[in-house]
Amino acid sequence: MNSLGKYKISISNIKRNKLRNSMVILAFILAVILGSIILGPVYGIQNYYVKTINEAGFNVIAIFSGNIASSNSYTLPTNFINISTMKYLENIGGVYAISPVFLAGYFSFGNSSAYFVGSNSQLKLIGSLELYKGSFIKDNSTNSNLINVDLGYNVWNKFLKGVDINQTVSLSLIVQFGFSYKYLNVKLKVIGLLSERPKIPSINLDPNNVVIANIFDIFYLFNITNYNSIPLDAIFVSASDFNSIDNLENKIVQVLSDLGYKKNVDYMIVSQKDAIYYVNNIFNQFYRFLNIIWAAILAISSLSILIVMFITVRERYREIGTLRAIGARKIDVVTMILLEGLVLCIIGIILGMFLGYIIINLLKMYYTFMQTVDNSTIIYTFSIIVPEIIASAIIFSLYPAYIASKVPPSVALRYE
Amino acid sequence: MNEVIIQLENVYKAYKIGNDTILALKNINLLIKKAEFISIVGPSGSGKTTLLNLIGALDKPTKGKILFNGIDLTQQNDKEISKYRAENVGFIFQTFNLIPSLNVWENVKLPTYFSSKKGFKEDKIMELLELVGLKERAFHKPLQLSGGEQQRVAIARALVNDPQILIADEPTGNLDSKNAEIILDIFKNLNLSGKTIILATHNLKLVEYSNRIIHLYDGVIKDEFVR
Repeated sequence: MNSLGKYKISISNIKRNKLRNSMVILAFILAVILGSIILGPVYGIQNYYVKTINEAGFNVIAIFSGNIASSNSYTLPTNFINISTMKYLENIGGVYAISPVFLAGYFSFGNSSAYFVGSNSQLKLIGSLELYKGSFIKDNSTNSNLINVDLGYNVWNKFLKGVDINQTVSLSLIVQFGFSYKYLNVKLKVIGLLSERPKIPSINLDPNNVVIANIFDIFYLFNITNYNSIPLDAIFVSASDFNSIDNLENKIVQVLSDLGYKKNVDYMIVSQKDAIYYVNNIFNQFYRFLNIIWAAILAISSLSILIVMFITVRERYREIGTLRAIGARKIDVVTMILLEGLVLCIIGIILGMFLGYIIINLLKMYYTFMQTVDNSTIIYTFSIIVPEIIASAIIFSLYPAYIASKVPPSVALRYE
Repeated sequence: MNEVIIQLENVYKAYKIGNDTILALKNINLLIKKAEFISIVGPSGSGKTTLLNLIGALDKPTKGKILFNGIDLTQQNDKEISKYRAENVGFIFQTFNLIPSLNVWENVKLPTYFSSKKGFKEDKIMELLELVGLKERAFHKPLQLSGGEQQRVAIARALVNDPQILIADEPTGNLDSKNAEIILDIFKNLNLSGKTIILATHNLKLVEYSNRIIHLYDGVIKDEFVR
C-alpha cells in the first residue's frame, strides 16, 4: 500500500476526533513533562557530582588520619600517619605525585573562615588547582617567619578583597590544642591567587576557603623540629592513570598494613574512583525508585492511547470493512492504526519537549538544585524517556490494531 | 462475451451463532461470464449478501471453490485476496460506506492506494466524477451530499482501479426513485462498456434490465432466468 495513502487516512481520522485525540496528546505531553521534571534533576545532580569529583583532583587517593567517615564519632587513631609514612608511600610503584596535608589552624573572617593548609608543590597537580595569578608554593622551606602562601579564591576575592600577589598580610591564626584555642599572629607573603573551583561533595572543606603554605614553613613557624612524627591530617596520592587507582590503593593499604597501621582505625582511604562509584551507586538506587513513578506515568499515558484506539477501532469497524473491501490488507489496517497512535504520540512528545524545556528553565529560577539540569542533561533525559514513550505507544496501539485487522471484512461491513 | 470470469463450485457457507450452525448458502454452483449483468433476487435472509461477499472475496466459503479466471480464491493468502479485491472488484454498498473524513475526490482515490496497477493518473478521478455527474462536488465531504450523490461517489470509487467486476449490494435500497433511475443509467452504461455487474436488489427496474436473474431462496438457487 502507498504509505502516503495510509498517512492521509490516519491524519484524516485524527482530525475527525479532535477532542478525544487531544486528550491522548495531552497525556503524552504530561508524560514528557513529568518524566523530564522527575528524571532530569536526578541525571543533572548525578552528573554534577561525578563531574565535580572528577575535577576535584588528578586520580586522587586520599588517606585521612583516623576514621572521618562516621559523623557521630571520630575514632582516635593509635598510630598517626606522618611525614615518615609519606616517605614509605613515595616509593610505591605507580605513585605519580604525593602531598602531605597538615591543617595548621584557621583564619577567621567574620562569619567565614579559611583553613591554613601545609603541603608541598605537588598539591597543585593532585588537587587540580589552577592559579589565577602568581606562582604556587615551592618544596624548600624559607625558614622564615614570613610565610609564602597561595590564597584560595574566596580568601582573595571575598575575605581579603583587594589583596594582590607580592603583598604581605598579617592575620591572626587560630590553632586548636585539644579543647583550647591559641591565637598566633602570622605574616604571610601572597605569592599566588587560586582560581575558583567547585566544592567537593560530602567534604566540608571548601577548596576556595584555604590558605596554602609549605608544610615545613608551618613547622618552622610552630618551632617543630622533629617533624617526621608530627601527625598529618591527610596524605594525598595521585595514580598515573584512572584505571590504576584501585591497584595503587591496594598497594598503599598493604604498605600501611606492613607499617602497622589499622585501616578504618588509624586511617581511612578514599579514592576518586570510590567516590564516583559511591555517588553513582546512590543515584542509581534513587533512579530505580523514580523509575517506578516514571513507569506509572508511562502506563497512564499508554492506557489512554489503548482506550482511545479501542474506541476508535470499534467506531470504525464498518470503515475498516470498507477499506478491506477496496483492497486494504490486514497489515495495512494494522499500520494505519499504529500510524494514527504514533502521530498522536509524536505530536504529544514534541509539544511535551517544548513545554518541558520551558518548565525546567522556569524551575531553575526558583530551585537551586535544578541549576544542575543543563541543556545537555535535558537532551539526555529526553533521549531516555522519548524512545520509551514511543515504544509504549506502539505496543499499546498494536493490540487494538491487531483486533481490527482480525475482523473479517464481511462482518466489519455489517457492524452497527 | 462467453468467457467465464467467476465460477462457484459446490459452495456452502455456514455461520455459527452460539451453539447453532446456520447454513446461509447450500451447494451453490454458478458460472458468471464476462460483461454479464446479473441480478440476485430473493427475500431477506435468502443469502444474497453472503453470495456477493463470497464472489467479492470478503468472506471464505465453508466448503467449495470460487474461481476467478481459473484461480481458486479460497486458496489465496491475504495479500493475494486483497490484490484481487483492489484490482478486479469494485464494491458498491447500500449504505454507500464513504469515509466521512475524506472529501469526494479523496474517497474516489482511496482504492488506488491499495492497487499495484501502473499508470494511474489523477485526472481519472475527475473523469469518473464527471461520469457520475459530480465533478463540481469533488471537494465536498460525504455528509454534504445527498444519498443519491453519495452512491454515485461510491460508484466512481468502485471504478477507479478499472475492475472487471462490479458488485453492488442493494445499491438503490436507500435511494428515492429519481436517484435510483440515475444509478440504473450509470450501471447500464458501465455494462455496455464491458463491465461485469453482479447486484443484489429489490429494484424491479434494475432486475428488468439484467440479462440474467438468479432467484435465491433459503440459501439455494431456486430459479435462474436468462434473457
